[in-house]
Amino acid sequence: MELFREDGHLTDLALKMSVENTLNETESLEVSEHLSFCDECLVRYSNFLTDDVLIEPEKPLTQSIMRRIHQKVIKIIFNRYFAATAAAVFAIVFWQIGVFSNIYEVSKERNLTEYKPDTHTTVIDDINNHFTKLNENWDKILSKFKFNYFNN
Amino acid sequence: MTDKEFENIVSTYEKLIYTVCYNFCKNHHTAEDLTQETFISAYSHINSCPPNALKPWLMRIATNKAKDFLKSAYNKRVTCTQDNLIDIMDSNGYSNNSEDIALSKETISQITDEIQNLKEPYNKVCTMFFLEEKSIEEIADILDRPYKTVHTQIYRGKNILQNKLKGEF
Repeated sequence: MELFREDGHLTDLALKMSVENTLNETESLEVSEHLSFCDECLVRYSNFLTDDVLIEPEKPLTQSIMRRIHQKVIKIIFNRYFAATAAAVFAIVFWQIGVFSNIYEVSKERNLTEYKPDTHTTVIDDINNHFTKLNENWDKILSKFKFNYFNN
Repeated sequence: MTDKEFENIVSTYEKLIYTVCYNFCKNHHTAEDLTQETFISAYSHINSCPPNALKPWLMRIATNKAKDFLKSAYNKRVTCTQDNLIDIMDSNGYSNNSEDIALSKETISQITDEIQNLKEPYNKVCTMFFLEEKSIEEIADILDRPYKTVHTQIYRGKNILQNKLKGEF
């Protein structure tokens, strides 16, 4: 009993047996695997599925399917709004404890015009100098944050 | 697409998709679950449906769902005790003894015959992989099959060969 032709496609017998539910588990797996990527055999299989061989589900599924879809849509919308609400709450909390005002003050104190690149320095020296200033400013922000947080 | 339009699609193709799922899993409850999952997936990806190809597109989703279900059940049932055909060959023992070397050659010849006698869809993939030493990517390209399918077919081909060869040795 050959389920596959020499060219690798399913035989008519394989498709007929699928429709008649006479394939065993391994054969079902092999046939379904082939149908999952072969357009030609899928079309041939659909030609075997005439109205007289279609099976009626034990109970109608349309309503339960639509209900599940609606539940999924509600879940997606809820997750999105939950994420947006959480972001807004964090923003308000940070604003209340003064994180944003600290960043603003530090950025005011930092005067970029004080630093004038020396024409004799290299690009690497410039980059190093920028990172040094960034580290100093970050330490200032952190220390102000800790002061405000623990004293409020 | 509105909900009403999609509901019409579900009503139109419900029996077809249920039949496809039942053909492979042979269980009404499982077929119902797979049918529901098919339409839920279709709803999520309806924009990627090719024009005028709704029926084959839905059937493709259904066969994929059935395949995944069967694969999961198959993998739970089948375990590969040895990873490599070479392990089978090694278990027969290689040695410098000339008689043993001749036997090993006979073993190799038997294994080669068994590979070439495998039925499709395992024959070509196993011949290319074990005898022609092609990579999985090359085999997938030549046979126009997905990489994962080729990988799975080689694994199953190995299991079939191991069961056959264990009986003979």
